[in-house]
Amino acid sequence: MSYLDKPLEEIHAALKEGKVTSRELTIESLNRAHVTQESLNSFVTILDDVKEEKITDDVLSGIPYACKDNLSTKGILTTASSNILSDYVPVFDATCIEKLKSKNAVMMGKTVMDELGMGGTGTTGHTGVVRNPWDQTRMTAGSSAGSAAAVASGIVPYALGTDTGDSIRKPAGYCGIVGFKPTYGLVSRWGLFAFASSLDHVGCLTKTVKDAAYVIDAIKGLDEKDMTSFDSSNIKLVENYTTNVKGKKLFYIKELNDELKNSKEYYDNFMKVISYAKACGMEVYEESINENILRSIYPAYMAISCAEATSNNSNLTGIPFGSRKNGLTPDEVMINTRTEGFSELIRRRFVIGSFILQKENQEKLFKNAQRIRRLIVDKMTELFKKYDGCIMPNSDSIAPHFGDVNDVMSDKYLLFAENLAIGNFGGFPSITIPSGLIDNMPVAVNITGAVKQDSNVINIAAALEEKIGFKPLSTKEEK
Amino acid sequence: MQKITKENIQDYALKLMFKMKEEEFETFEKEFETILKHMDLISKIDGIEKVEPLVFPFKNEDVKLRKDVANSTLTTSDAVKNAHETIYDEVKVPKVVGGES
Repeated sequence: MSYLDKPLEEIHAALKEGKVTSRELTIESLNRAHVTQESLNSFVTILDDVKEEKITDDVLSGIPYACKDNLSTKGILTTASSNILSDYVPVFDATCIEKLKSKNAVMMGKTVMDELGMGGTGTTGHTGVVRNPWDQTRMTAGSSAGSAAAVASGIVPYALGTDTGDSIRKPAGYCGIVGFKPTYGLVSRWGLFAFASSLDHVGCLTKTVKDAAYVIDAIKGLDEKDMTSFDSSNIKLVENYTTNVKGKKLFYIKELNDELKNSKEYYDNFMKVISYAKACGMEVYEESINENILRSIYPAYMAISCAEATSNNSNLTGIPFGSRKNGLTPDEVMINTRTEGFSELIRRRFVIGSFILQKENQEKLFKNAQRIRRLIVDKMTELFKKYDGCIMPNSDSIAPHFGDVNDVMSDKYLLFAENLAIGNFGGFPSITIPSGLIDNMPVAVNITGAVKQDSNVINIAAALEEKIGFKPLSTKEEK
Repeated sequence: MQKITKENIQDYALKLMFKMKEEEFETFEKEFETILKHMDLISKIDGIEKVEPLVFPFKNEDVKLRKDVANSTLTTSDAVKNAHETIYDEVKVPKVVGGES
């Protein structure tokens, strides 16, 4: 097995001992990116001229990683996978990028995403669809689609992603890797192209839970450029990492579990993980949440995210930056730029957002969505007083085939459409880990915990990961 | 609440500085109907109107105002680096008043 396929600690040890160099790892990563680009389409930009970095005592030093294309990277094309930003080159680094640079991490490419983060299929980026490394006839989900494909296929040991509803965790689950969205504000959002500011998080996709702890430890911290960040010097994920979780208490949501019973294999997989949790010495209980509230998470998420997105993206006019289209007046320039620059999906979402924000609609649409947000967050916060975490299925399906789902809102009252958005509503730390295979495709579980209890969810996930013993695709295949 | 018609969809679109294309209206109207149907479910939850809307995940106790000292994060040359057309370090746009430039 190549060092590139090993956990970060082992790669670091090999680098320190001189068994492999940063240059060799970087070249191997770039080669893998090129070899798989045609089949997977993970990248908007592959940084062929990237240089190796000096090895220090920092575990991330000298190791290549990939970055979602909605994080600002100085001097490097950053498109958010949208035509409107197809030639945009930022003049500053996002805080998380700065932090990784200071640790000598090697960014080797920018990954494809759903346009502006506003999709969940990995099919709406301006450079084409991202295919699932486990089965290229299936999607990765999104929006951190290219990041998930790049990690799952072994191009990089880790990638940065962002998560507004489930955009790190859903693709991580479909690609058989770990996806971690930490507490809101643990990682600065400075330099992230905002989708819905009150729901947006920066996080990571990795092959192991401990690797996620290393990455988040490296990029977290109070940032004066993001007033929603907080002092997290007491949150030390690696230092407090343990798989000894005896006595921890978990709950699962009865209504989600009842719905899952319709899909026997998925239900059996989830219950097997529950049995592993008990075998780790954890107590697991069933808790009930009003089903109508759970079914309202999906429309509430749509309403809040579309409304915030409408406002956040009003700066994309083609005038100060972006791919400008011609017009006889500044208004015409903007209208032509935005009509051609945004896909139909994005324009639809913006109009929905604007409609929701109209004074006459606010009470019934926008405020009711925020009221659902309150009800679900209060309920979860109350439960987290009794429990260390909530365990739930990451999805009720394996990665769908292309064409089987799209980004048009479903008219069904779905429980599993946006169940992971609970983590975004409350800013709760939330991690997804693979839990097995169904039809030779990965399935996953999610652990969500109380605000600022990131160590708790990491450790619970680590204990389960050890019991489940899932092998990521990239470590199964001969390179 | 307002009714959804082709006209007011186009009106919203133009207020947002873009146009909707003719062939896009069908999906649009369906999606609107869907979201309104879903939002109706929320309206039927007992006592929903008495709940205080939550606009942010949680209260951040660390928020402090920074010192009121002027600083700059962007130089002029950086600010115009991504503009399509510039003149004298300023962004050039079509003439606003008085016809073509």
